Amino acid sequence: MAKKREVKKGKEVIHKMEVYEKVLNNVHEEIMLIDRNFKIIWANKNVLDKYGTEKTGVISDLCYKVTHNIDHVCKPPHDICPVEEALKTGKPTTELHAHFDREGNKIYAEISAYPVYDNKRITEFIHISRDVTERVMFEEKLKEQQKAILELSTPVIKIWEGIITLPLVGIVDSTRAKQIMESLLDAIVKTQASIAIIDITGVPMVDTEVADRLIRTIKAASLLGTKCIMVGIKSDIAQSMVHLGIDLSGIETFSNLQIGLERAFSNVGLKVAKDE
Amino acid sequence: MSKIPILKIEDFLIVSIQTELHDRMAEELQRDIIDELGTTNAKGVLIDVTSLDIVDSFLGRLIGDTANMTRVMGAKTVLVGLQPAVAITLVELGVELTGVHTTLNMEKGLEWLRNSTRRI
Amino acid sequence: MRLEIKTDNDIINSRSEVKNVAKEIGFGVVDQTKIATAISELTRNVVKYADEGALTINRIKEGGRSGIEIICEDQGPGIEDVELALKEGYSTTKGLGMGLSGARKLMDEFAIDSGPGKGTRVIVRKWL
Repeated sequence: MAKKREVKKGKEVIHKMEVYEKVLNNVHEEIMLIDRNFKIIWANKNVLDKYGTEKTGVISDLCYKVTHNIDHVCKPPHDICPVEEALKTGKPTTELHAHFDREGNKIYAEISAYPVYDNKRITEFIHISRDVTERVMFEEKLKEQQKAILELSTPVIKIWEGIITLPLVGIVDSTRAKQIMESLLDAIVKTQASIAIIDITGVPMVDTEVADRLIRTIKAASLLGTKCIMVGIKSDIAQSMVHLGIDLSGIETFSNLQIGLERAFSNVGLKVAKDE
Repeated sequence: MSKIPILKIEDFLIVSIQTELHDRMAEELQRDIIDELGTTNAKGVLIDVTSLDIVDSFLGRLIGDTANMTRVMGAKTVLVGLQPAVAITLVELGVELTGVHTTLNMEKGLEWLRNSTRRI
Repeated sequence: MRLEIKTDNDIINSRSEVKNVAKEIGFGVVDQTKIATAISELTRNVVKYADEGALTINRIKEGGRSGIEIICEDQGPGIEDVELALKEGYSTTKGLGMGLSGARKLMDEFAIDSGPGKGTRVIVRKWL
């Protein structure tokens, strides 16, 4: 009678284990159980298939040796070890690692380390690795597109020999301001311009921050030896600038491009004359 | 440490900085420029910094001081070929370089020197 | 990476090394220049006031973004009033202050630990 119960219990246990194995071996993630010394105690099928060979298993190998083929714990510049971080903080930690597969393609893996506690002491870690290459590639492409948009929105136009103009349209935030500064200065060097006309007609609002960035851009251009003229200052912007105490001394400013252009021409010794 | 050569073209001293400047080299260069000004009666100094990747506050101040010294001696100084990244950094640092005229290239620099030192 | 700071030459070497690492991490030319210039300011302070020191350059990562961290330390006399040293701007100070405030302006993060007899330790960071 007792034996029958034992056998039944045995079957239940085996059944439970089969269920656990099914679950752990059919997820897409690579799951490992690592001890405090980075030794692999257990690994699911994905890990064994990916890293194991006929000769060397993977169990009781060091996790960094198996997954990264290095002799030390993962650390910058090669990626931060989440297990180390989890050991330090006692909390689950996730890090992004960049690896190369057998063909040399870059793959991104999101690695999470979950500490396992036994009576308040960390005894092991669950190491789960997720392939997030697609997601990361998508994010990188998005960033590239944003960069391209930023560059397109600061076109510098050479309107005459030695005279360039930078028409600004839209809000100038700190990222854009940085881009504007670099674009303008690069254009000055490329065209060897002696005059740069910065047209802020299309900028809806100029507060102290925006003005500060524009002034810094102009100072940098002046350091290169180029004279800057600011045009397109509408009456309300002029008023708010004075109210905010923005000091534009040393910078020639005009209300519109035409007047600024005339000034620029006369500066380089040119005059626009009508054909009689 | 080799000295930086100072050439004389027309009435002007031309200094082309091709390598990284140690602090001591920079100070020595300043002394050499002032000495040369004194002995040759040059009317202006052109300093070419096209090759300088980094100009920190020490060098910036040195250049500013050099321009002041030459002015006291009745001569003009022009800084030629400052790199954009360097200009941006100097502005960020707050180094003004007031009193130092700057141009984009050698040609404009010489032109400016000729114009500003012409006897009327 | 750890570099020794003792002579004029070391100031220039430190600048190039830092610029190279910054380039590898992915910083653009302007940022490379700002970082190298900040290091120039810091290492000059060491050479001028502390006889010798060390520079440590680290690549850092935080929440998906990358950056550079430079630690500049020396066993020199230390700074008595750090607040004051940082406040003084370019036009008024001829010494220590300018280097520190300059480095701070050029980097994203700046931390300093210094005191008389304690030596000086400056940590600066810039993020991509």
